[in-house]
Amino acid sequence: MKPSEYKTLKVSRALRDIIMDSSEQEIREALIGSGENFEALVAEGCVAFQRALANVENNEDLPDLRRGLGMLIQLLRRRERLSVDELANKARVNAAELRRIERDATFEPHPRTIFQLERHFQLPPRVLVILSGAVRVGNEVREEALRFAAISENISELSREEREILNRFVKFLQEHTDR
Amino acid sequence: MVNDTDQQHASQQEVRVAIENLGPTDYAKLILIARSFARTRLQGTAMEPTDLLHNAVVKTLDGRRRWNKKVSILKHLDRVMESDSGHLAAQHVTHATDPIDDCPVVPACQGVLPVTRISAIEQINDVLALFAEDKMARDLLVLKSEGFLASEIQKELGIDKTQYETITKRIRRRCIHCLAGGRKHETK
Repeated sequence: MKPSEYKTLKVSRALRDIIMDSSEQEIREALIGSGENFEALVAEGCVAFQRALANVENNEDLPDLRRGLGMLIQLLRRRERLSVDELANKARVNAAELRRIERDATFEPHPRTIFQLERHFQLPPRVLVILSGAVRVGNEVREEALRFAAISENISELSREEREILNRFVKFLQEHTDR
Repeated sequence: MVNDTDQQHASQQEVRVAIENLGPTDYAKLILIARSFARTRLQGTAMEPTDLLHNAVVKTLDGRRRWNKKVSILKHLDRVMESDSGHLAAQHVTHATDPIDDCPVVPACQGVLPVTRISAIEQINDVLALFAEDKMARDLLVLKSEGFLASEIQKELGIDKTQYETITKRIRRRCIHCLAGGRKHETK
């Protein structure tokens, strides 16, 4: 890091220290005329903390739930005949993150991404939130997610067969037109 | 064998208690701080301020980021967000030029981590613009950033305690006001 960058980092920290040392009254006063109110800030922060606490409590079940999440998103995407990039574009989420969600049960999705995907697929609220592990759930949800993931893996195999049939047909057509 | 460093680090139970004891004002402060990182470092990433704060809390709770009890839990969470947002910004810059689009993974590192050059430049512009016409506020911030105590800053700037508090209040108001609603800092 350059000296100027280090200096900037320190100034930025000093600024944040001033925020951290503020009282509730001082924050309320500073917010006057900003278009934001203290309660809205508290609510936003509270969401982050509640999700985090639920997330950690739920930790042991997370891979099972997220396996179900990944498979569900993959099937929903394929139902719409979208590639990962296309879905990412339509749902306004990060494509790389979407790939990780579909493939990696240990990956922790961002709450915003889950929200965007729920909205895009027009799912009932919190369906994906539950599978993402952001809220506490019972054993039955975990078991159902596991069952779903297992069944869906078979669907993936069937789809590969379908793809082979399609490929053979395309090859046949290609050979036919080459004659 | 338990060494000094282990004793300074909080146990999982201590972390949990400290986090559960945070109140509404703490939430408000932390979300304002998360917004400051979001504006300067998370542009173009999939992260929102709430995500950044959420991740900092999760990593502290599950032990990936150990809390040194010498600093407050608030300051610890601030530093974790600083570190994570720095990594995300760096990875975002890398991904912009890298065709391999594996998802960025934030490494579970300890301590203070570097800031990317881009975000640092943005911060320079931001902070300087914020106090461009307030030399006293700028000087106070610089001295504070160098670790000067309040009494030393007052002596250095030739001001009394009341003036010091007035300037600090001005800085706080300007900063919080600009972070509220996630808007860009005003330049006047």
